[in-house]
Amino acid sequence: MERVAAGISKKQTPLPRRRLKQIWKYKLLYLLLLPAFAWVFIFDYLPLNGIRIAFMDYNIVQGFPASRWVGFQHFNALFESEMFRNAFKNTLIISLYKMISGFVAPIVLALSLNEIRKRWFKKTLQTAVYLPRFVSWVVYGGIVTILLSPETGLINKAVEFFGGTPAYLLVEPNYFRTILVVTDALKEMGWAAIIYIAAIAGLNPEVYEAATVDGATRFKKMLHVTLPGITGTIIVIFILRVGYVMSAGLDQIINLYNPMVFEVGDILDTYIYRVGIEQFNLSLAAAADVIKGVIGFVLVLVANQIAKKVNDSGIF
Amino acid sequence: MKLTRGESAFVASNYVVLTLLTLIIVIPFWYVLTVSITPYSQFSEKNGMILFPSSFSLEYYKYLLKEGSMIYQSYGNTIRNTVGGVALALFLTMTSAYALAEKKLPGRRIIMVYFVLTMLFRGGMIPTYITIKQLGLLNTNIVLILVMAYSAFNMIIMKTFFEGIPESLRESAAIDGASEFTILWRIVLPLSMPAIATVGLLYLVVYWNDFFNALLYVSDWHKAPVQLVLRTIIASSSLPPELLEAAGSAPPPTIGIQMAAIVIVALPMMVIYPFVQRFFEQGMLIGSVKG
Repeated sequence: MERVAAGISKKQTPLPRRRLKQIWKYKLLYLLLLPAFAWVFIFDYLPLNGIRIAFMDYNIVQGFPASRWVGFQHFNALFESEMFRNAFKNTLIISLYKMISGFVAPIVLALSLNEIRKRWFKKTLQTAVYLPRFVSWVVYGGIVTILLSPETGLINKAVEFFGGTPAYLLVEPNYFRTILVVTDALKEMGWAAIIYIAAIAGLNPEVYEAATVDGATRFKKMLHVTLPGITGTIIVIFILRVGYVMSAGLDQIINLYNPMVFEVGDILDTYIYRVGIEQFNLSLAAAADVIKGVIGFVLVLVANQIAKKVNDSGIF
Repeated sequence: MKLTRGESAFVASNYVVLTLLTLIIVIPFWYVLTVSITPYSQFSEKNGMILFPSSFSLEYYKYLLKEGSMIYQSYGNTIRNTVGGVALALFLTMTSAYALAEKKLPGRRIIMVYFVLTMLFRGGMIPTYITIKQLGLLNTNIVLILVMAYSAFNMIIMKTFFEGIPESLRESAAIDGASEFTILWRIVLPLSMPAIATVGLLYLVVYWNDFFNALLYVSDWHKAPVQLVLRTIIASSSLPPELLEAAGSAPPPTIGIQMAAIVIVALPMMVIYPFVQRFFEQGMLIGSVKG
């Protein structure tokens, strides 16, 4: 810790004695930093060292000493694998769909909630839409599965009631992605809207008054005052989402998918889990991890650069 | 304020659409609760279309909560992981956030990079799994407490909040001879309740709802959290043998069991969050300010 700290302050103070004194003065704060520093080292930085198994034939029983280097062999195998290419493609498609719904829906929700003037009604709606965020995907996926089930599901009963033919929607490749996008939006939009609601609450009321004087309607004010007012927040959230494009929703999909819909629903994370943990092919799965991580990293950096150019509001 | 006709239409349709959306979000939960307390005879009679129960039965709950049921042990595991985990996570988050909130701390920038970098690039599922295995943590009682105990994102929320506490408050306490620890304990902590509640809730939800880390790192059923048991109950059209052992007699229909199990697992979080809502609505505002 002190070594790191000393390294950075080199430019600021020429006298090493004074620098050490400075550091000593804050010894208690460094002590407070130590537990989290150690945690991050063990659980975030040590795994980086484990990445090398992607370039090895990892021996599960004997570990690293008994594993030999194989270069990019696993990466080549991945690119030739139909299943990997499929998972890669699905990850991008599902993320893109969710980007549209999961990113736009909370903004619209926040704008609409802002137009509700009855406080108790607004509070009630807010409490209700937050609800699904507080259950796991095991629970939510379970509810979705039950509602969509062919024999007992409420949705199919309703379809039947209106003269339609019931179907087992969760095994239909045609419907699976739609189900993912809709359930994801329903579960997360309320929580995701909080940040916009907070941003709207922080806008200057005088601008609204000026707009009213100029004869703007409620709808116009929403479009021309509120929305531009939260653009900064929207861009920050957008960058964060772009960074997650390679994670298309593991918790959700692993609780909803089945072999019948692998073709449209298998993503990189579920692929990595199946190949690595269920089939013990750790090296191959780790290679997929590396591809996922590198692309994700590049995407955040690019998105951040673009945001800086457009709006001067990158996050780092 | 008078509204024009167009505006009234806008406001009215807004009310209608939001109400509908809220119903779509809430009704599935209501339905699960209703079915879980309705006798199966009525369920099949009404063809599953029950939104308001006319008779009441706890048969599913009685079955799930039979003596020796898997649920008890796994529920205990979840409670232990959650209590231990949230305590550890809050400790790590608050100590590091407090230190990094001090603007004059030498090396602050590079230490910040050290923490934030983990949000951008991670080892991934398999390298992390290998590391956990090498540390000898697989299948232990503490692995789930440890692996989820820190999030740089939460630390930034906390740090931003600490930075908002007026310097003068701490300085005057220091002049009065209070030590750094006294200041932290007596002044900073009480003022930070909204941030602690927000971050605490975020960790609470992560710990209570985790199933994937359990899927990765815990294979012993006696150490599994209740989410994993629920997952088995939902995934199987028949019930897991672990549950049947305790049952003995013929079990009631699966769908009711599944719904009752969902209620048992989900209820604690659903009861808690409205009480903390006021705090996290504020807390997320702090988080939305650049870290």
